[in-house]
Amino acid sequence: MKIASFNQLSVGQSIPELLTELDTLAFVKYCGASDDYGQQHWDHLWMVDHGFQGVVGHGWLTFAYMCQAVTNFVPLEIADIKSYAVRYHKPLLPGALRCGGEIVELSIDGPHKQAKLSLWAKDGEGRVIATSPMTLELV
Amino acid sequence: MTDTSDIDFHVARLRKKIGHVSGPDVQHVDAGAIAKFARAIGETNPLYFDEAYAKTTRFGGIVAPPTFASRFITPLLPGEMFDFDVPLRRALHSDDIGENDIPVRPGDIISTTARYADVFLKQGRNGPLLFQAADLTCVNQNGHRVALIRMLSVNY
Repeated sequence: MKIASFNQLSVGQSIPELLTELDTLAFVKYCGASDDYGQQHWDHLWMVDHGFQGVVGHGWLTFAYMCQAVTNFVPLEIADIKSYAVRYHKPLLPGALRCGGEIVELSIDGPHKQAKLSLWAKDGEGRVIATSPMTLELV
Repeated sequence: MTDTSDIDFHVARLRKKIGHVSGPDVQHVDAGAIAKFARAIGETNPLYFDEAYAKTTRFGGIVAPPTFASRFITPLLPGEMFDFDVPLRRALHSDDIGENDIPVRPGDIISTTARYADVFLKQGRNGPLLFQAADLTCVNQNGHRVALIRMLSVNY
């Protein structure tokens, strides 16, 4: 479901959940697309040697899916993501990723229509791996 | 057991880096890079791929996904900014605090500078956490700021 205007938003409204499955190939593809070849994202043995269970995905990849949950609902065609403050609580591991959130505040100040959101990302076990506030400005 | 006096030594060493600036790193953006990035994050919105569709939107052409600016900061991190030569050997990316100003478009030339902003210790459940912060500013060829990002890493 996509909304078409600010008037369709309400405080407490949930952002429809986005569910995806990410494997190590997805991490490697993101290495190429983001030009970020940090060894933690593709070198399993190096990660084991550094005390991890294996490779981890990019924090920005988690956040990209959190943004996509938002823009699937409030499309970029009608809203800009103005600000955010994402905290990564746990590493992104290969497996399921769920992203969602809710509208926490709406405001109109002259021509500026803003929506404040509270977002989360969870792994396949339901553990929260990232959270972020976000401000959207709707046109 | 980690020697905390050794960590304090490294925090004091890293504090001297606060204010250090790296860059600018200059990147030319094309439609192919935007499409590749969009595919890698599972996007299907034609706004990122289809010029004919994008022309019908308020943008008047293809724009990059909202997190595309993350692509500009990687040449400056971690080696140029974050210093992982510390006694806590596990390092992870902990936070991104950002503002998006204007969208990135094909043809943009983005100059990014990074400033080493902070280093601090916190006590975690299982021992000390050493955070480092860098502020990254991305500016386009017209001098307009595209994005501002404070990125933090944690060693533990």
